[in-house]
Amino acid sequence: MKRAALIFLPWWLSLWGAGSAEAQEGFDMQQLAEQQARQDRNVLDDAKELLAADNHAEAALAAHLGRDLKDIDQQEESIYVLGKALYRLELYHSALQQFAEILEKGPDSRFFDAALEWCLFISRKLVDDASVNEVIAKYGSRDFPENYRDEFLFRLARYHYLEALRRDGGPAVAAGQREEEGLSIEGNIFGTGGDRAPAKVEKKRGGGLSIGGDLFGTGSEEPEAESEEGVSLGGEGALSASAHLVEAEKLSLRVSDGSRFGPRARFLTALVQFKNGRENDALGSFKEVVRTTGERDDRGSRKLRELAFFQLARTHFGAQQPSFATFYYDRIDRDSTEWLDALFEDSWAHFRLGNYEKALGNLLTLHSPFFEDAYFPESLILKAVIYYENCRYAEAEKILEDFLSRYEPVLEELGRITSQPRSATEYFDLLEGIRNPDLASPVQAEAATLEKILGLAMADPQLARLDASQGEVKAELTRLKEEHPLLAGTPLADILTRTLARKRADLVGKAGAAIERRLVREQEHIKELVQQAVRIGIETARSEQERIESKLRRVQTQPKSIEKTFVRWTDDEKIVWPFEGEYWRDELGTYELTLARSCR
Amino acid sequence: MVLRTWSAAFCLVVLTFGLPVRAQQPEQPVDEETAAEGARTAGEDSEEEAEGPRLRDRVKSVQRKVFIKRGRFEFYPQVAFSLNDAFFRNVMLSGSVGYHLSDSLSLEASAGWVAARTESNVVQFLRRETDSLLEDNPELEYKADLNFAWAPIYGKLSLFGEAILHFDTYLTLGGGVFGTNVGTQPAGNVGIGQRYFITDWLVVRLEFRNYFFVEERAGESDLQTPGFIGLSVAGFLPPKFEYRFQ
Repeated sequence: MKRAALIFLPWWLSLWGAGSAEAQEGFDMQQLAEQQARQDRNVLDDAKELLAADNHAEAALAAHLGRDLKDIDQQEESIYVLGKALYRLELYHSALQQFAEILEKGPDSRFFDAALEWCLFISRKLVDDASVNEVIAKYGSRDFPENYRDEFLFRLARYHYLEALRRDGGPAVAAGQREEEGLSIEGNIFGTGGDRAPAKVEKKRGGGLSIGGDLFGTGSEEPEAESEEGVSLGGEGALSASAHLVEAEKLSLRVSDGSRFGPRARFLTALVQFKNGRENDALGSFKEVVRTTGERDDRGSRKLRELAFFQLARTHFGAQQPSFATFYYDRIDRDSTEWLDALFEDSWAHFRLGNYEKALGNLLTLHSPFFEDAYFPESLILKAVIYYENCRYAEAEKILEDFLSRYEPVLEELGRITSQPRSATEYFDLLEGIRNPDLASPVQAEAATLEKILGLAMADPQLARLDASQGEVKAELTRLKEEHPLLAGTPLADILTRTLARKRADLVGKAGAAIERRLVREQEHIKELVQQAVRIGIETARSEQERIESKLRRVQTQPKSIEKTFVRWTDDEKIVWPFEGEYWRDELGTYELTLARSCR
Repeated sequence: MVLRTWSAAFCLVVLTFGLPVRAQQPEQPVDEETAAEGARTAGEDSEEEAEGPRLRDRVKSVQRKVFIKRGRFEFYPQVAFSLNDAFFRNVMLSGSVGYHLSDSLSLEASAGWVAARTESNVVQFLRRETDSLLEDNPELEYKADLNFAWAPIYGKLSLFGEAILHFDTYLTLGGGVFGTNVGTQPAGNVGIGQRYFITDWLVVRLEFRNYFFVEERAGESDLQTPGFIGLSVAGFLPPKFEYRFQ
């Protein structure tokens, strides 16, 4: 037995030794893991401490190290801290990237709600908040933080509305489709980016007005791969345009009336209602916007109120109610950027009412030296039509000649530009060439009007936002390189630079595509106007011939030409000033032109 | 005298601004040849020449008044300086309230007193050179009157191309009493003035008013015609107005 014990002793010992080695190894591993966790914790703590101490660049670098941590929770926290640090460094696009990454992990993430709020803060800093809205729509939950619920709901509603527009129309047919549908709006009720949007009124299409553009102007209408991936809110990824509209209306109605976003949400509701063909509901909602906003409110509210008046006018015009339309057009303030558009559209409404004096008076303002740069080619067509309607054929012909001499070369030039195969980037360079005359422009814009069109392209809110957004990303790239030397040459800076460069290229591409669309749209528009001018010219010549023949036959022409009385009085609240060739700034928009002779 | 003073005041205002002025005119003669240049379009007369006398298209600006007075009260303190007294310079302070029956017609009640009086150089000269005593000097003391005002002219000034200042010109006629150092006499007055509209409720007024009353002094009756040029800042109530016609 003893012998046996001795024999097995080495084995036992070996076994014991082995066991103790394994135990030792396990012990070491645990220690190592603990040490690693401590180190990880230290990395994260360092990042947080640096952030708290306002050493944002160092905090960002430390947090970036934390991205590789094994612990998922710590990893997420590192990304979150990195996002915050980048935000503090005013690298908003880069920060958004980090928060989007957290949101992508879903509502189970400890930092989900906070990241959502940070996205909101970022959206307030960016010119174009479309990318933020997209992130919110893509990854956001339905339970938004109480404090920001209305804003989130509004943003989501807006996202769905724009998605509906995008899916409904698509980039190539957007303009045309809108024209047929009657009304679409350009502008930005969020008050970011450019506001001025040249309106194009197609009064004879579909019985309504169409004003090309995008009210919220939050980016390109081009299909984007990311967007096609869909929205995570209940799997709306495959939603049709109408489903998006339903969603937009539902969400906009959930925004409480008393909140800052209440009026904007009502405005959005009205747009959806109009889009769905519920014009009366839309009118009611637009009026609600007017009721809830005051003339003395902040700039954003006043702008919204004005847009509501504008849409009321356009909706009534589309519904063949020009007298209501003129009432609302008159509500647009003279200082508004929309005023010239309102004046022009008001001319159509007065024309429809047979109030030629006011229609011509408005056109006199539009064609005054004050607005030499304004671009309203259709105004000449309208003027010619009014003279034609009043049997003033000679003047009508002159106006048409003037129109054709001005715009036929523009049409040719536009055709030349758009017929050449160009990439979106080259189109963007075209814009850069106009903006910066020192750069060699790829287009020899001979006609001043062409420059005006290209200038207008820059004033397009959608393009303006894309352009501003790419400028913002460019500036962020510069800041990253120049203002934060601590980050220079680090892996974090490399990653951010690559991401930002990709983003900028994408935005430039979208802006270029928007310019191309704009030019093509303008080309089609002018082409159509030229065709109209030719048709009116033929009609004018025919009517004039009939008139001459009637005279030769000594038959009274029909309708009979009469002398019109120039009325110099008005009601007690108004003043009549004679116009003697001198424009007074305060009189713009108040002119009335009495045709001395007319058959109406 | 009144007119000249008025003209001088008006010119002073205009020259001070050195600016274009435009006033609503009563009916202007139709001058077909000089009618609105801006309304002319080439070739328009070809048909007209064949059909009858040359007529030109006419353009007018139909503008809302920037200030509506109808149905509002106007309160204005005023400081006025005598103009046509060779011996004394009087400074009269007054307070007035008016009610605008329409945009061009109003009724005003006013009361004031002479707050300061200084002798002119003439008095000092006479005292020094002729050793005159100048006893029983006529001294203006107070006045109270009820007036009717009519504002037939509405105009505007362009302030260096930067802003437009609207004004109206009014005529006023009224009666009341005028007190001097020999007693209180019934008095009439006529005046002309301008209101410059600053805000919806604030107006600056410049006016000339001449008073007429018969005063008996040392057994002799004499017609006194003191004239004052006054400046006031007026406030309107209610401070806001609404247009009746859209």
